[in-house]
Amino acid sequence: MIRYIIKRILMTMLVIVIAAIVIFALMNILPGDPASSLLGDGATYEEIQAKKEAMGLSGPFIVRLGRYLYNFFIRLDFGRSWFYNTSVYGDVAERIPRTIGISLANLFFTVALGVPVGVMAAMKRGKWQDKGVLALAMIGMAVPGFWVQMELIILFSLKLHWLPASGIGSWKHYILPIMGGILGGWTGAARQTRQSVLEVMRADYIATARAKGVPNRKVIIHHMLPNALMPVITMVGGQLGGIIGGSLATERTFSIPGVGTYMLNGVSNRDYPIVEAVTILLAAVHAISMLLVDLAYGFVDPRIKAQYVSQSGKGRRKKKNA
Amino acid sequence: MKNILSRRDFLKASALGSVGAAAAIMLASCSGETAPAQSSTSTSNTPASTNNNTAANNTQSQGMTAAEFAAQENNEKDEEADYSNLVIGMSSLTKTFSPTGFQGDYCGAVYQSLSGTEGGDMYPCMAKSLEFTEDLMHVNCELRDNIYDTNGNHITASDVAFSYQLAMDASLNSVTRYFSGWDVTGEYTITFHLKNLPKADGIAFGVAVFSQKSYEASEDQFSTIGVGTGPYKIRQFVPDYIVVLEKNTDYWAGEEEIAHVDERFPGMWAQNWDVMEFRQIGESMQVVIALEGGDILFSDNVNTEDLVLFEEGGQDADDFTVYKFASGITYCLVYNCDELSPLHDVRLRKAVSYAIDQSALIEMLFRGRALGTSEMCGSWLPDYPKEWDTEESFYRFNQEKARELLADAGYSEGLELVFLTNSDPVNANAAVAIQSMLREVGITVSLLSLDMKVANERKEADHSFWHITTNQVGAEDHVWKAFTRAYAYNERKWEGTAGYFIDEKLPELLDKISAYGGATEENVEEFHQYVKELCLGYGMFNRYNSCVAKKGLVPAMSPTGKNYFYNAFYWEKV
Repeated sequence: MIRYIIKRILMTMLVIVIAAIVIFALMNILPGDPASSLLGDGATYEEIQAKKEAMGLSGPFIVRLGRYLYNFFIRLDFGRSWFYNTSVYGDVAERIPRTIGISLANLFFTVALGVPVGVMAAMKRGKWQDKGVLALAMIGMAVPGFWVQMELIILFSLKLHWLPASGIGSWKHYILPIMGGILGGWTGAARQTRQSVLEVMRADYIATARAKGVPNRKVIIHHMLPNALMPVITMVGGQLGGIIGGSLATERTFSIPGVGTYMLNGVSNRDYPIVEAVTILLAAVHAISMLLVDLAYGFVDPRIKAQYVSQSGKGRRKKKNA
Repeated sequence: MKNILSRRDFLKASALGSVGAAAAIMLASCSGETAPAQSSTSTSNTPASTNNNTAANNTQSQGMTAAEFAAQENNEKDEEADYSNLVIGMSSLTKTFSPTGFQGDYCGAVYQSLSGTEGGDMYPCMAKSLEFTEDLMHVNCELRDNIYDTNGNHITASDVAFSYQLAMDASLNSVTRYFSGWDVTGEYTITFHLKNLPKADGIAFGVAVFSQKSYEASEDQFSTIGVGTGPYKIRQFVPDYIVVLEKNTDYWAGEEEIAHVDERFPGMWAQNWDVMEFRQIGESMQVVIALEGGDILFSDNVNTEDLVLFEEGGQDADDFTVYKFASGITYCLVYNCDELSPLHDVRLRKAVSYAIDQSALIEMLFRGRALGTSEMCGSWLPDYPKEWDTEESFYRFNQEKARELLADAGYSEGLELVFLTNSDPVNANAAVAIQSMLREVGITVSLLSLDMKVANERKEADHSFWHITTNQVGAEDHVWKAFTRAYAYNERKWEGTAGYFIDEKLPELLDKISAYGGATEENVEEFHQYVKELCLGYGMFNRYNSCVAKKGLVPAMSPTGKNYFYNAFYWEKV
């Protein structure tokens, strides 16, 4: 299994490097000249060439690519923003805790609330608990997330004056953004969990366990849940991948200077260093989250773990020696 | 008995109940808002009479200064009020405090310049004097000898030269356009050499002046904490979030210097507030909440739909005042006059202009909150002749006339045109509205939306893929400047105007009105009559920028109404 994990980590790193090359190449073939854009229409040819030199846009593509990859991955130098004139690494490092904090808290509470509720709904299938959860889930999925956030602001900031409406500064500023994410997100987790638990409940081994007199609680936790969690892990993995880029709407609504708004401003301003750096980070986060999801599968399902082990070559060697 | 309802019936009932509950919640949350008084709509075709903002509970002010506001409203400054913290909500903040890249009126409280910030007005501010030499190709500047920045560094002519050199290296238009160089002639004297003879408004000396020593000591070239000589200094700056300025307690300017500047730019160097906080609030709804909750005192980022809450009859009208100022940006149409375009024929250009109902356009796009115009410049400009808005010869909405011209040009069966627009919401919505107006007279318009940079590159290469496009003309403070931006031949990468029009007379007339001393009423009128006959485009409107202020808070603006002087805002005495 260790061998498999190492192999996957190396593959993930390769994927990230390839993504970086593709992103760099795409940014370089975009129409429009950033130097001219920055200098304006009145700039002369010489001024534009000098600006290109200063921005690192002159020279062969391969040389610039090599320099960029070296700076990015080895020196952790993401370049300087053309508009802010600050280090992109520094800007991202300052903003990323806010974005990740909100996203991770959303994810944690969504799963912590959604999974037990989904299990309960499946266990009480057909009863008022199940119907209530289904109804709430339908409302939760129909109502737009930003509307929920606005209503929370009106209630808790405007009417009750309990919490600040926007900005950063203290832990109180993060309560509403997280609440907004949870209220919209837990319904999806609950529905997904309910559905997969219902499927597992019909399995023969569950009936066998019950017939053997295993307590219901143990049936749920030791037999049902591990098998029902696979779709939930997939869903969580997808949300984990969007941990940086998925919070843009929240950041705009609550005026939080996070990575999402940073990226959006970079795109609007054609600030290539920002766009390149954040896009590569997004690709890296997605690749890592897929790795974690695959590893989680192996942890939860021994059959998948055996598959991984056999893929890494250890299983074949054992068979040979037998 | 197991179930009263069948499973199918229950699911149906649940679905209906859920939808009903959601609708009830949404309706409940929207309750409590009173409908505002309806503004009257002008149906006149004269742009000057498109003055239908009776919903505003304060006088419309088109470029009025703080002094004029005060005189009109009988406002007196309340010296005893709380001036500890002014909090402003803004749609966006400056990305940097670098002297060559900052944007935002509040930056004028940190950095100062040799002259005022309005166009080419050579009224000395940091400078003690600014004088042309006889040949008008050099300007002798004497700097005040008592200027210090917030680090305590003394500002000399060398610092001025350093500041201008930095701006030149950054290819700032305000320097590269005017100056070929400069020479430091004394500790406080410097002579600037001009590239060309000055234009009608003189030379702009608006570059931020700062200490070379402070700049070189800064780790990021003033990007995050700029050090200036102004009445305020930066306490905190988080890009895309907040700018906090605090009063410069060691401000170099005394009563005499401030009084001198106040004669031309009242309030520009004021220090009314201890702290000024500028918060970026991108969403209009959030701005409304922040205003209602008391988190901010002023904002110019309230959109048209939400303004009704603060105007007369709105739920917040008692606690807030709405001020309106015409934006300096004039939205215009530009016609493709190239030989390959059908609009090469002036009759067709006039037909298009006659088909546009400007009043209806303003009502559709802004609910009347915009000022129409009869030229490629704002009708609010101080030197805009009001007669232009009532001239018979202008292309006021007349569908019959439009059809006549189309038939005369041989297009009685109809004409097909391409309207090039972009993602700017005003341009995009105007294009859709004009498309329907032109359809009424038999002109079929297809819309093509392109990114502006991409569009400009394509326009350079291909003169035939578009026929009408939108343009935005920013005019600072004079009509002749707007004409320069709208009609000059050397402003673009192709020869001719924005619509490829070329002739000999147009640039001659333009040179005449833009020469130093040439912007007389007669010359400007001559130019106006000439371009009106050519009908190279169509001036549409200047939208109103509305700002909402806490009741009693009076905003201060520059003489042309282009810039806010936040440091000069004050509480009126009740």
